[in-house]
Formats: sequence, C-alpha cells, structure tokens
Amino acid sequence: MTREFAWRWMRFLWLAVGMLFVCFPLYWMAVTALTPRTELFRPPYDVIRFSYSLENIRELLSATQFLTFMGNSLIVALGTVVINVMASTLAGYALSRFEFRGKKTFVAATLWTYMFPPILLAIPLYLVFSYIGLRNSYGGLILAHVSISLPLNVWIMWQYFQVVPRSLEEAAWTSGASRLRALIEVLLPSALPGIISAAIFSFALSWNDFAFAFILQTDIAMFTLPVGLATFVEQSAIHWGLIMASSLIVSLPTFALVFFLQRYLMHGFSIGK
Amino acid sequence: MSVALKLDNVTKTFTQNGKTIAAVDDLSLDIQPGEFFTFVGASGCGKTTTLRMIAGLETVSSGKILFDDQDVTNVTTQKRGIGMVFQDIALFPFMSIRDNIGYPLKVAGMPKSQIAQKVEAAADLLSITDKLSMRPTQLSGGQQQRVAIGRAIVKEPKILLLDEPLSALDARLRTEMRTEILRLHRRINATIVYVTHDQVEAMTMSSRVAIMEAGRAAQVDTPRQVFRAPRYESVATFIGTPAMNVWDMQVTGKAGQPVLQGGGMTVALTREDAAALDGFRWVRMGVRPAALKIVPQDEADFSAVLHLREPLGFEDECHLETADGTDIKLVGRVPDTLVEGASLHIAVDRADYCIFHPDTGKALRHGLAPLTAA
Ligand SMILES: Nc1ncnc2c1ncn2[C@@H]1O[C@H](COP(=O)(O)OP(=O)(O)OP(=O)(O)O)[C@@H](O)[C@H]1O
Ligand SMILES: [Mg+2]
Repeated sequence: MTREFAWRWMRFLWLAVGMLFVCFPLYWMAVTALTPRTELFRPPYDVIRFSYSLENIRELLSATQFLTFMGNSLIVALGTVVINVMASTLAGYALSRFEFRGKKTFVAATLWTYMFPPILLAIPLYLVFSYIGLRNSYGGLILAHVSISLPLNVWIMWQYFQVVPRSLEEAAWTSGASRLRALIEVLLPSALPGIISAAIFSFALSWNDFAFAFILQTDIAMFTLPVGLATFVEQSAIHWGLIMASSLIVSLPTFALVFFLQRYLMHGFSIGK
Repeated sequence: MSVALKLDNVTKTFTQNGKTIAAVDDLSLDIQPGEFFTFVGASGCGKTTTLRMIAGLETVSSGKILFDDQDVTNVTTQKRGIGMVFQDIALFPFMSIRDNIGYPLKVAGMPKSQIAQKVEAAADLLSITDKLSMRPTQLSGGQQQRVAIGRAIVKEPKILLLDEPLSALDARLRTEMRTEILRLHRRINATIVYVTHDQVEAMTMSSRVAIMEAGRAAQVDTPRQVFRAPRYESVATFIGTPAMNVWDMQVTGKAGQPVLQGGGMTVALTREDAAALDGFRWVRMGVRPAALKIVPQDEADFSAVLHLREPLGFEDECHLETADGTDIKLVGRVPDTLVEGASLHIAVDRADYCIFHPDTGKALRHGLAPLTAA
C-alpha cells in the first residue's frame, strides 16, 4: 500500500520535472510576447511579471508581413489536409479491401519513404519544381507537404479500415447501396477518428514545416510562417518581442487542435497494435 | 410454380498459400417459393460461402444461380434485391435504430413519410417500437438481432438470407428468437434461406434442410426424413442428440436370416434386411439412443453394464458398456432402482435402426420405413 503510494509520487515527480522542461519555454515565449519592447531588455528579468501589453502583437500585424505569411501557411496547410484526407481514405480503403499484386511492397514502401529526412527530398524537388514551374506556388508546396505526410496517413487509414468489419459494408450493399455510397455513409463515419487523426497530423506537419518552404519558396510573398519568422531573426536588430509574439500566434492553432481533438489523436496512434 | 432459388452445379474454390480448396463443390438444389430452407453442417463445410454466393457477395467459380428462373449469377448484390442478416449482426453503430431499419428504403430513394411508416410497421412486427430512437449499443443482443432482421425485411425482399443469426445469443434467447423467426416467416411472404451449425435450429425451424459436408450437400430433405432415413452414417450421427450409436458388425447367420455380431452384441435381423446385406461380410449398424430398450432377459439382444446415468429431466441418458467394452448410449425412462453398476438386458427397436456401408458410409437399409421415397 505505502509502496504503491511512493511509486505514484515518484511518477508524479518525474512528470512534473518533464512538464517543467516542456512548459517553461512556452511560458517564457508567452511572457516575452506580451512584454513591451522598452521593458524587455531591462533587468531584472523576473519570472513572474505583471505588466503586459499587446504592443508587440500590434507591431507584428501592422509593420511586418506576418499576415501574408499566415495566409500562405493557412492555404498550404488546408490544401495539404484536404488532399491527405481524400487520398489516404481512398488508399487505405483500397489496401484494406482489395488484394492486388505488389500490395506488400507498396505498404513497405510507404513506411520506407518515411525514413528520409525532408531536406533530402527538398533539394531534388527544388530542381524538379523549377523545371515544371511549381516553385513559389501553393500547389508545389502543398505537393511537397503531402509527399511527407501521406505515407503515414495511408498507413493509419489502412489500419482503421481493417478494424471496421466487412459485414458493415456488406450490410449496406445488400441494402442496395453502391460501393461508393457504402464507403461514404457507412465506412467513413466508422473511420472518423482515423480521418481526424490524419487531418491533424497533416495540418501540424504542414504548419510546422521549415525545410520545404525554405527551399521551394524563394519569393518572400510566398513564405509560410516558419520561414517568415526566420526573416525576423535575420534582420539587423533581433527583435525578440516580435519573434515571440509571432511564435505565440503560430503555436495557437496547433495547441487548439491537439487540445480539442486529442481523444481522436490518441486513438489514431494506438490503433492496430 | 417457378423455383424461387436454384443452384445449378455451383462451385467455389479458394486459393490460399498456393493450395486450392473447394469451399462449395458442385452444389445443385432447388428452393421453392415460401420455403424455410436451412443449410446445416459442421464448421468450415461451406455454408456461409454458399449463402454469400446467393447474396452476390462472393462470385461463383463455376455454375449458375437463378432467382425465379432468372439467371442472376453475374448480377451485383445491390440488384439482387435480397435481404440479409449477418452473423455478427452488423448494425450501423452511428445510426439510430430507426435509421438502421430505414436505411434500405433511404437508399431506394423512398419519401421520408413513407419510410417512417414502413419502419414503424417493421418495428411493430418485431416488438421494438419503443427502441426506435436508441443507438444499437444501447440494445441487448436479442434486440439488436431483431433490428438486423427488421433492416433485412423492411424492403420486403422475396428472398431473406440469414447467416447464423442466433449464434451470438444465449440459450434461452435463442429458443425465444427461434419461435419469433418462425412466426415472422408465416407473416411475411418471403423464401428464407437459413444457415446454422446448430442441428436443433435446423430441425425445428426448417421446411427442408441441406446437410452440408465438405462443400457438398450430403442430404436434402425434410427434417423428419433426415432424422428417420439418413442417407449417410455422417448425416445420421450429425443429427440427433445424443448422437446415434454406430458399431462395426460382422454379418453371420443363415441365408435369409442374417445375424449381426460385434461390439459384444448380437442382433438377429429380418428377412427384409437380408437383401440389403447381400454380399457384405462387415457392415456398420446404427441405433439411436432412444431406440434401445431395457427389456426382460428373454427378449434381449444383448446385455450391458450401466456405467453412468445423466438425468435429462423426463428421461435419463445412460452410458452403457457391452461385454467387450464398447460404449453405447441409451435414452429412456429408466426405473430409479437401477443404480450404476447394474447389468441390463437391452433390445434394439426393430422399427428404428440403420445399416451403413462399411467403407462409404452410405445407408444400405433403414429399419424404419421412409416417409417418402428417397
Ligand atoms: N475468403 C476466403 N479465402 C480463403 N478461404 C476461404 C474464404 N472463405 C472461406 N474459405 C474457406 O472455405 C471453407 C468454407 O468456409 P465457410 O465460411 O463457408 O464455412 P462455414 O460452413 O460457414 O463454417 P462456419 O460454421 O465456421 O461459419 C473453409 O475451409 C474456409 O476456410
Ligand atoms: Mg459461417
């Protein structure tokens, strides 16, 4: 009894230390973002502060291209999500329901592509996209992001469809529904957690990508947020208040997604074990 | 009258790991309109595969399937217009009971008000009216099975296919649903094709049964006929609990008056048996446990020692051991005074036994006159 108790506390302690490492930088980011420039470089640097202002954020929105970057990021992320969801659903369905030549190789290859660091793909993609004129375009970057997120999503959806009983679909067929109709009305609702996981995963991947956007988008008007933020660092005077303010805004959607959809996400990553 | 469902030399082979097996092997049979036809047999004998081919969920490797004399072999499931209940019930988990039952009508594009009406009617028939706005998971197993049946019959299909619909239910509920399905069959105008591995279900519900063995129909007959005049030893031992006693016996005795000897038993047979036994030195004799009687010594065919009594309620199931140690079973009303270890005199009911071919297992003779010509 007491031993169990001690163990529990040990576990909590570990968690607490871990949480501190994860949370403190986040906290520091938020605090810095909300501290006016004039106070930012004036010691003492208190851990707990009371005077906050939206000055940095106001400057961010009016004096920089932040909104352009954010628009680009949103368009690319949404495009990546839409293509991922559609393609991984159809591919996962096909993998789970049909036997075809080379299926095993295909599945192995999907995971294998995942072994490459993105930067390794980015340079060849740069050459190819330059050649076919996809550089500095939304479509090109979306394709690049899809290329790294789709394999895992196909795999997740495949696992999902495998656990949806075939008889569910067959019951729809014997009810008169076509294959496509059964897929949409019967299979998709059953695989919804998987679809949501795929959407979150591809959104997060696209939203946070630096390597592809940095190499493929050379025109500042086409920069996404992570690349755009880097330009703030490069400017002669490093403006930490601005950087932190933008980091804060950038991380909000990811937080929100994970917070509201974590149930689905956990389900997505634990299925098929 | 046209045949509601005809299987014409239907074969289905599966290839797995380079090995080809015939799940259904050259199966031919006719099912009449309004019949309650049951496929029964041990696991893996091809019942489900047969049903799935009828439903169009599985293609045939060769042969033809006809509905009302129309060849549907290459018609898709959607266009066959059948209703089907799956072994795992397969209700749509995210839809209400109302939507589950109404789904086939919705797919058919029926107006909402009409759907509501038909769903109500089906629910009424199955006494689940008060469950319509619930979700499948909120229902008990038996209720879920009713919903699945409701979904299958709501479109009033001419052919209703049921694959072991009761196997997921407990014993009491199973008995209850058996009656329920029979009642339903009387009220709807459909040909029912039913699959089960439970011989009690097959015997009690069906107008005819097909006893399946390794992809073939060993016998297609009425339940009574299958019980009384099994075509094969395998059919005889499959149908009936406890199973029929079967022994190897040597044919002895004079011409025209055969005597069977074996397993510590001697059974003198009649003149009528002689013809069937002609040319055999060994046969297998089959006697149902209920066709063995405890009799006075002078009427007995043989004697045996009572090993164990299992009360079934009205009757007892007695495990007996003959002179040479063969185990046989007897079911009947046995005096309470008989205790384990007692020596009994046993007679074989001359109106109820079977004699089988020693190698092929084909029935050579039934002591009981068949109800109809086989
Ligand atoms: N899709 C398939 N691929 C390969 N073999 C199969 C397939 N479906 C069925 N079989 C094989 O065909 C045979 C008959 O199977 P089927 O499911 O029809 O049996 P069943 O009589 O319904 O048995 P049960 O009572 O266990 O349901 C079995 O040996 C099975 O292994
Ligand atoms: Mg089966």
